[in-house]
Amino acid sequence: MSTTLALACTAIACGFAGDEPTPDPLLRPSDRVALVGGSFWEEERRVGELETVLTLAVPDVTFRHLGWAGDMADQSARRFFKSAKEGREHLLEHVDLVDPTVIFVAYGQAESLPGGMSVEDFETNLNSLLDELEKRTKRITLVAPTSDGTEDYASRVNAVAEARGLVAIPSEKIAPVTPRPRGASALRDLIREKNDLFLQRHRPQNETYLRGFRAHEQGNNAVEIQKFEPLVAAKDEQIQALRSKIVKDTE
Amino acid sequence: MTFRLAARGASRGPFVARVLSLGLRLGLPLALSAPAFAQRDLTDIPEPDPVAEQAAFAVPDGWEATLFAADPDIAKPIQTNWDARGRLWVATSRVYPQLEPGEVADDQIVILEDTDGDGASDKTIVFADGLLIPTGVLPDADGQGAYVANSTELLYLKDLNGDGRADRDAPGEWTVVLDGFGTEDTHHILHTLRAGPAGEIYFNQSIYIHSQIETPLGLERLDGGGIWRYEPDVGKLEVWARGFINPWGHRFDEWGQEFATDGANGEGVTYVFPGAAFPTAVGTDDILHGLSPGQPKHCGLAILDDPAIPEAWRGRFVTCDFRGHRVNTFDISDDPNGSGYVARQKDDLLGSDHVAFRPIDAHVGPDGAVYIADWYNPIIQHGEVDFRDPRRDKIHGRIWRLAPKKMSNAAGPAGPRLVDLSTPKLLDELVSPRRWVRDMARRLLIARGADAVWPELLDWVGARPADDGRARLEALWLAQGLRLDMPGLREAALADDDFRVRAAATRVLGFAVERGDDQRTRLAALAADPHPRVRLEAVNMLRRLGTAEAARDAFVAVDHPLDENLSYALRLTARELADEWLPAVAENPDFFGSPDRLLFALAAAKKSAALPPALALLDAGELNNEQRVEVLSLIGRFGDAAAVERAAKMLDAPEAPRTATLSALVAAARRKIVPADEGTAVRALLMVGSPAERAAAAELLGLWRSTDAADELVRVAGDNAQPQSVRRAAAEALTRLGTKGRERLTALAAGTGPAAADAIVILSRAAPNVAASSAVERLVGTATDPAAASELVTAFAATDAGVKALTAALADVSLKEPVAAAALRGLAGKGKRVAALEAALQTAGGIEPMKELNPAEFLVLVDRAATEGDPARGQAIYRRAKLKCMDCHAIGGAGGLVGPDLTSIGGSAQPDYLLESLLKPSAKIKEGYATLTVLKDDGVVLNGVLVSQTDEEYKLRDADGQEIAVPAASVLQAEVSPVSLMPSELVETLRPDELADLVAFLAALGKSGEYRVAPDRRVRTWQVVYGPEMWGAVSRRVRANGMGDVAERPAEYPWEPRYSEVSGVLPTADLPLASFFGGRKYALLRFPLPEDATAPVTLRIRDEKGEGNASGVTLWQMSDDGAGAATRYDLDRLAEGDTEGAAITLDPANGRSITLAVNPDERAATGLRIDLDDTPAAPTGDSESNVLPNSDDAP
Repeated sequence: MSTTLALACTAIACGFAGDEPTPDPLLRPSDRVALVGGSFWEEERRVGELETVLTLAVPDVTFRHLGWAGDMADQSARRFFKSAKEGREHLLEHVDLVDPTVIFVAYGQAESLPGGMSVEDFETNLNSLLDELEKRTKRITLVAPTSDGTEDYASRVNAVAEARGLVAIPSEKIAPVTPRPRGASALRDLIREKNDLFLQRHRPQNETYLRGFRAHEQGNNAVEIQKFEPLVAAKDEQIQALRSKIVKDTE
Repeated sequence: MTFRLAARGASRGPFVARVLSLGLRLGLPLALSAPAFAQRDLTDIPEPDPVAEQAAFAVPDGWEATLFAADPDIAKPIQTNWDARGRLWVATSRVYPQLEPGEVADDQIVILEDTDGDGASDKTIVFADGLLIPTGVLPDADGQGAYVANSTELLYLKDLNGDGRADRDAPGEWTVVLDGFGTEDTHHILHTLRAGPAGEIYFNQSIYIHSQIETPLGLERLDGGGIWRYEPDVGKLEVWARGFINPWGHRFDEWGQEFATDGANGEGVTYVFPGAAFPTAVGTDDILHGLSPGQPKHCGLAILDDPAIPEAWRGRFVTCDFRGHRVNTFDISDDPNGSGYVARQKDDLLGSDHVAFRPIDAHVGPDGAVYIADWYNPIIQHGEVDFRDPRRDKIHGRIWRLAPKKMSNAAGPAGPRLVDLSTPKLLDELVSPRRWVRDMARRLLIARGADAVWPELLDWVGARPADDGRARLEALWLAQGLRLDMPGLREAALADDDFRVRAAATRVLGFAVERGDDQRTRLAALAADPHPRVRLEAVNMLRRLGTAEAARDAFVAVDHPLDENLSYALRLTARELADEWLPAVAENPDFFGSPDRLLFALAAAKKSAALPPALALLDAGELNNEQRVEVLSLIGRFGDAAAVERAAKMLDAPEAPRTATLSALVAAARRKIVPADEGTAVRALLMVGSPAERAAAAELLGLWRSTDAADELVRVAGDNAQPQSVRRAAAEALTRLGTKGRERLTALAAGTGPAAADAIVILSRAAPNVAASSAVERLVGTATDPAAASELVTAFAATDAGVKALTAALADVSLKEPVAAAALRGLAGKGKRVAALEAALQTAGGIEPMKELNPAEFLVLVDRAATEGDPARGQAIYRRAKLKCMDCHAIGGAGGLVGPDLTSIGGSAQPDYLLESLLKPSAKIKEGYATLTVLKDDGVVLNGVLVSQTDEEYKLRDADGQEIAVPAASVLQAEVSPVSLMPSELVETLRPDELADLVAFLAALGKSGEYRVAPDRRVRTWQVVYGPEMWGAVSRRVRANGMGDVAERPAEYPWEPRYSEVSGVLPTADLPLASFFGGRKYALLRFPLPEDATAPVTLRIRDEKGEGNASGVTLWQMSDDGAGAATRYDLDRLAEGDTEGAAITLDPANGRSITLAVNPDERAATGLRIDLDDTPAAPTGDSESNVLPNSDDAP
C-alpha cells in the first residue's frame, strides 16, 4: 500500500496528469511536512519508500512522521492515561513542534474496523481535527483509505476535502512505478535512521517518567528528549547532501 | 543506612534468635541496627564474578546450582524460551531503561545451546540485533523463527537462508505482526510471550500501558495490565484477561489451565481464565484475586512437572522473588470445594544474599533441570532510580541451572532429536512422560500443518487405549491447532471421567462453536457438568458466543453451587451480553427458563432495562423474599415513578420485605423520585414498625420533606421509650423539614432525658450554635451520667464547627468535675483539633493536673478510687505509652522487669498504699527494688536495681531495663539510694479522675474476675513492627518482598514490644499498621513458641470475648536457623465459619518463631488473644515471657 501511495504522491508533487488543470504543486522546495495519521504513516516511517521518492522530487523538504499505529481521527491511540481529548492535544503539540508548511492527513482505515467508529463520528472527528490543523497551515492534503471495507470512510474523506477545498488523494488514480535512481536505497536508509531518531523525540518510551505522573520521582531524564532534535537535523543535512549527489549523478 | 551484605547473612542465624529472646525477656525494643531498605542507599556494588555469585547461593538438599551461561555471551536477559532443538532463546537489552541520545538501539536475541549435554551452554548465536529493548521472545518450535516483543511492536523474525540468523524481508525491515502497544514504562511494555496448548500465543502488558491495535479483524484496546491472546494463522487478537500490575509470569499447566504471577500485586500465583479481571483492571469493580495474598514481587512462572524432578518437589510452581534474591515455590492443588485452586507456599528452590542476583524467569528445560534467568543487577527498574544511575549494570547476565544432584543425563537433552522425527514418531512423543517433550512435539506437529499430520493423527488416536484421556487431550489440542474438526475425539474427551480432561475439552469445543461448529447445545450441557471447573469453562466459552441464547445456556449454571469464579463468570456474562438477552427476555419473560436464573442475570446486569422483567417476576409472585430484595434494589436504583409507587404499595402487604422496600424508597428518594401517595403506610411504620423499619421510615419522611409527618417525627424523636437509633433518625428527619422542623428539634433539645440528648447530638451538626447552648445547659444542669456527657461532647467534636460552638458556649461556665472529666475522656485521642475544647472543659470543671495532695485531698482521692474508679478505664490508662508503666512493670510476665511485677498486687496492697506508691514512688520501695548508687573509680556514677552481686562484679538494671555489669574492683562506693527509679512526674500528668481509675485497676489486679491472670498459657508479650520514622521504608520493603519477609528476615524490621491486657487480649485498634498493596494495611506481630514446649503446640486464636476467631489473621512459622521460607497459614481462610478451626497445631521442631499479619479491616473483632495449648516437658526453671506468671506480688 505504501508503495502505491508513494507513487500517488509523486504524481501530485509533480502535478496531475491528464485533462484537469494542474494544481499548485503540493510540495515546494524547503517545505516542512508533518505526516499525521494512524498505522499508515507508522508503516511508512519504517519503510521510508514514499519519503525517498518525495525527497528526490523536491529539494530541501523535511519530513516528520507523527503517525501512531492504531490511531483514529479522534487521536484516541495517543491517550496515554487519559482520553482522546488529551491524545489530540499530544498530536497538536507535536504538530507545533514540527511547525509544518504542509500536512498530510491519513485516517479512515482503523475507524472502519470492528471496534472503530461510525462514518458519522469519523467525519465529525476529521473535521474538528482539520479545524485545528488549518490554524497551522492551509496546505493540507487528505489521504483516503483504500482497502476493502473502507469505501464509506474513503468517500467521507473525499467529501470533507471537497467541502473544505482541500485535495484528497484517491488511490485509484495512482500512477505506475517510476524507475529508482542509483543511490536511492542509501538515501532510504538515511531517511529511516532520521525517522527512528525523530520517533524518540515524538514518542519516547517511559512517558510516565518523562512527562507523566511519575516524572517527579527521580526524573532528570526528560531533558534528554530534546537532545534528539539536533541529531534529527544532522540526519536531514546528510539526506539533502546525498540527495544533491544523486540528482547530480542522474543528470 | 548502608547495605551490609554480611549482616543479612548473620541475621538469619541463631544469633538473632538469642537477641530476640533476650529482647523478649527484657520487654524492650530490640537494639538492632537500622535495616537496609531502599536501593537508593545501596553503596557496595559487588564484583560481578559468577563464582562469587554462585557461592552465595543457598540451595536445598539434593539440588545443585551451576552456571549454564553468562556474560559476555548474554547481557541483561529479560525473557527466555526454549525451542524444540533444546536451545534456549534469550531476549536481552543493554539499552534498558531508555535509549540515550546518540545511542544506537542494538539489543539482541541470543540463542544458547548445550551441544554436548554437560549442563552448560557451549554455543551462542546472535539471532537478531538492532532491537529496542526486546522484552519478550518466543521461538517457533523448529527454531527457524521467533516472535519478539520490541517496544511498540510484536515482530516475527525468521531465518530464511539457514544461516541461523534472522533475515529481514528487505534491508532494515522486520516483519511487524502487530503494532501500537504502549510504551509508557519500559518495564511494562509487551512481555511474557507464551505458547498456548493449541498453537496460539499469549503476551502481557503491565499497568501503565495503553494499547490500541489495528488488526485486519478489528481494532483491539487494552488500557492497563492484562494478557493478550493471538492466533497467528488467522491474525486474531483479543484481550484474554485484564488487570494485574506487572504480570511477568504466565504458564499453562498440563491440563491447559493457566496461571499468572505479578511483579507487584502481592497476591502470589493467580488462577486465570478467559474474561477474568484482576486488581487494577480498568473500567470494572468486579475483580478476582490471586491465590495467596501477601506475597512479594514475582517474576516468571514455571511448573516442575518433569519426572526428573525429585518427588518432593514435583508439581510445584516456581516463581522468582527478584527483590528478595530467591526463587519461591508453591503447591497448587484443586480447590476441593470449587472451580479454582488452593495455594500453599513451600520452601525456596534457591536463595541468595548476593545483592545483584535477580532471578526473573524460570523454566523446566529439555533435561528436566530448572533454568533460572538472572538479570544480574544491584539496581532494578527505573521508577525509583535514575535512568542513568551509574550503579546500574548494563553488561552482565546469567542463566543458572538447578538440577537434582546425580540427575541422570544419560539420555541427554530431549530436544535435538525431536525436530527431525517422522510424524508418526512425533505423535508418539505426545504421550511422553515429559511435559516439555509433549509440548514441543505438539507445536512441531501444528507447524507441519493439517495436510501432513491428518492421516497419521487419525491412526494414532485410533490406536490409543480407551482409557487414555491424557493422550486424547493432547490429540485434541493438536487438532485444534491444525484447525481440524474431530468431533468423535472431542466427544470422548468431553465424556472423560477426569474433570480436568472435560474442562480442557470444553474450551476446545467452545472455540469450535465460536468458529461456526453447530455444537452449541453440547456446550450448553456442560454448563451443568458435575464439576464446577467444567461449568466455569462452559460459562466462559458460552459468553464468548455473544448471543442471547448463549447467555441463556450459561445461566443454567445458576442451578448449581456457585463459587467466586463461577459467580464472577456469570456476572460478567450477564453484563457483557445484556444487550442481547434483555430484549429476548422482554419478548419472552420465561427466556431463561427459571426465575432464579433470570433474577441472577437481572441483578448482575446493572442496567435500567433489567427492571421491567424484574417487576414482571415480582408480579408473577414466584419470588422468595431474598429475590424480592434484589428486585427492590433494582427499583431503588433504576425505578421510575410508577415502579417506585409499586414499591411503596408493597408496604401494604404484610409479608413484604419492609426494610428492603424502605431502602429502595430511600434510594429512589435520593434520586428525587417520590411516590405520589406520600405513604400513609410509611407514616404508620414510623409508629409501629420494627426499630429498623421505624428508623428507615423516619429517614424516608425526611428525604420526602414530609412536613405533614412533623408531628409524628417529633413524637418519635422525643420518646424516651424508643431505641436511640429510631429517635436519632427521627431527629435527623426533622432537620430536613426546613426552619419549622429545626425549631421543633431545638425545642426537643431543650428538654430533659435521653431524647433531648439525642436531639442535641443531631442538632450539633445541623445547627451547632443552638445545640451548644442546649448541651452546656444539660452538662451544667441535671446530667451526672458521665457516659452521656462524654457522648454529648464527642458529637460536637465530630465537626470543627461543633468544636468551635461548644468551646464558645463553655466560656464562663462551671461544670461538675466528674462531668468535665467524663467529657474529656470522650475527647481522648482526637488530637490538636479539639485542644481548645479540652482547655475549655478543664477550665469549666476546675480540673488541674495532679500536684502535691494534702492529707484530706489524698483521702478524698482514695475514696474516689473506691467509689468511682473504673478498673477498665484504669487499665487503658496503665497501657498508655506516655505513662511508660509497661516499660518497667509486668503483669502475667508481660512487661518490663525494672519494677515489681504487678500480677496480683491488688490482692495484697490497699488503695491508699497504691496511691502513695504512684504519687511518691520513693516513699516505700519494695524490697529487692531498691536503687543502688555505684561510684566507680573513673568517677562515673551509675544508678540501678541490683540484679546480682558477686565478688567479681555488680550487675545493675537501669531505668531503661539495660543490664550493666560493673567489675567489683572498679567500685569505690555502693550504697542504697533513697530515690526510686520510678519517675513521679509521669503520674502527675493525670487528672484526679484518671488517677482514681488507675488505682482502681491496680487494686483489682489479682483479685478474682477479669483482672486476675488466667493460669493457662496465653501470648502476653508480642513484638510488633513499628517504625515511626521509617514507615515508608517498612511499607516499601513489605510490598517489595511480601509479608512473609517479615517472618523470614525479622532483623530487617524495627520491632517494639506490645503487651496483652490482663485477660490476654491484645487490643488491635491501636496497633501500628504497615501499608500493603491495594490500600490494605496490616499489623505485623511476632512471638516465640515457649522454649519448654517440645511437643506440638496448639494455638487457639480468639477474640476479645474469648471466642474462637481467626478472621483477618495470617500466620507464618519460621525455622529457628532462619533458613528457607517460612510456612504460611491463612488462618482466616482455614477457619471460615468454623470457630473450632480458629486453631492450628505447630511443631516447635519446625521453628519457634511465629509471625502474624493482622488485617484490621478483615478482623471481625477488636482484640486478639492466642492461647497456647501444649503438653510441656518438665518445667525448665526460668520462665519465658509467655508462661505462667510468677506470684511475687508484693510491691
